[in-house]
Amino acid sequence: MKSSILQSSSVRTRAALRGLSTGLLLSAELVCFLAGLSACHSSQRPTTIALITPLTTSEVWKAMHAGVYRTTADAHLQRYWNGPTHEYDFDRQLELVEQQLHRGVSGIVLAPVHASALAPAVAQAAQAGVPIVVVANALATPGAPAVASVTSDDAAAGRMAADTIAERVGRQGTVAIVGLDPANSATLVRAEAFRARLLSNWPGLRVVLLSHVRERSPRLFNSGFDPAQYERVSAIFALNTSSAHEVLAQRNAEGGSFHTVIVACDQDQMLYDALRSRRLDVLIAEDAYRMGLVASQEVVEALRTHHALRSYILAPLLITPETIDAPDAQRFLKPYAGFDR
Amino acid sequence: MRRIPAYGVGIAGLVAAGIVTLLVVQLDVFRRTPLPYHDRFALNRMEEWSTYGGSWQIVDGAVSNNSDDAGSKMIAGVDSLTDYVMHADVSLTSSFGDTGVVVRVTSPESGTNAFNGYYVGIRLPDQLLLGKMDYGFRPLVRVRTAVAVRPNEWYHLSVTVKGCHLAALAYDAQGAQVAHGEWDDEDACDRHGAFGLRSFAAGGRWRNVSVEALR
Repeated sequence: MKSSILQSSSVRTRAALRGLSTGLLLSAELVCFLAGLSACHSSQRPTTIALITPLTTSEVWKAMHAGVYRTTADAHLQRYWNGPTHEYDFDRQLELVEQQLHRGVSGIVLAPVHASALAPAVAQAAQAGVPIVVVANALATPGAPAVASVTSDDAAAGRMAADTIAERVGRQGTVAIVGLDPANSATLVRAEAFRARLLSNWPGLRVVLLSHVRERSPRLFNSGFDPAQYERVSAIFALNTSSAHEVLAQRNAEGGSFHTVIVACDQDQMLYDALRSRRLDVLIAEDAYRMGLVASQEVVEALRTHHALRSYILAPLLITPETIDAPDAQRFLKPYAGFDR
Repeated sequence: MRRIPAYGVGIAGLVAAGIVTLLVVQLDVFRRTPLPYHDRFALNRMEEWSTYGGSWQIVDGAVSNNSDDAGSKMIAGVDSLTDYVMHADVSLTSSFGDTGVVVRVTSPESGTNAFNGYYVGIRLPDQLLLGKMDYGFRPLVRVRTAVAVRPNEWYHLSVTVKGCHLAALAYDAQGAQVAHGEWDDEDACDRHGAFGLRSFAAGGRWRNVSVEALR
């Protein structure tokens, strides 16, 4: 009898506990519903593709975002886009990648602000099984497993710059290469290909000046370097937007008096304006929209089929004041509608 | 003595937990943003605000952001706010960029466009700008102001969000209307969210920030 009472009591207790736990579970659902806590629904987390860029304000990153937007919109996926608010802030970029991994992002398209500083974050993503594609600035990770990348053909850009300078200057002259950035592989590849092209095809053109980006290496940039030297060379090859701005600012400071041929790489609104007003002679643009599109499609495909991520190299486009409004050029420069800054 | 059935204990637990939840949620709303809201910058207080980038401080009864970050913001309120009108005096403190207010903000974090919601700002040389933020930026309306926007002058912004309709009015320091912009957001409109202050590539100052619920 005692045992039956005990059993009965135990059954009642268990039933009460079951009832209580059901109540608590339902309450938890209620809490989740009312408070909108995302953690409550981790098993139903939507597929999100994150794009993390060095900035979110310049044209090149907006174009890249437009590509990722197209992919995610077509596939009905969530999109996340963010970047540091100051250029060269790789700490913030690292933080953003880690934050996204922590939140359970499905895939990442990363345009690293630093070729080696972001390598651990990329490795962390790969270890976590999160597909990650590096764009624009390939990682410098000797010895590490290859990381899928979608980059512009920077060697082609260097060769294009050499040829167009030779066309404009002639077979004899002096050239400055500005904006060399040890943390940006694109600038290194462009500069190397440029020099090789001069040596092989235009030996009468000599590189007499090589300068580094100011923001990244102020000492290198300022050590004995006089921007007035710009006007003493026949042509300048600016490897990125910030160095092109420096050169154009110097030309403005001189009242536009020096007639050096200026060829710039990458894109932003100030360079478009400079090209239209012929203060800039040539812009070699990256196909940033396709970079974002292809990289994000690659991530989505990897999520669906679990295939290994592939790398791509996209052709750059040479744009002049005469061709800036051509459809091809506009596709490179303003491929987005509505995302305006 | 009559025993309470097991399912009764469960139901009681459910009801009790539900009541506690409702109280917590409601209390949180009241603690953080009673509407109508008015800032307490004049009392040197801003603890109800959360900052995302920038360098914010109160000076002379106004809050200022002394950073030219590409998009820094300060947010107050909760996600559950729906239809309301926000007022603020705003002033650009640099000769570049823009400064304004944000409404229906959800998921804010540090980053230029890192939130969902709407932005209304004044921009040099003569623009009132309405835009939609979704971790990207889409300009919705750009209106030329009747007079040039000048750095360090105060302008009053009045922004109304009701349903999917966004309306903004800008006034100069003398109270004359200088611009008016409206937008019906038919593309997945943000229907609720907190409010805040934002500047883009510019320093800014804000004062007399108030928010009233619309019925």
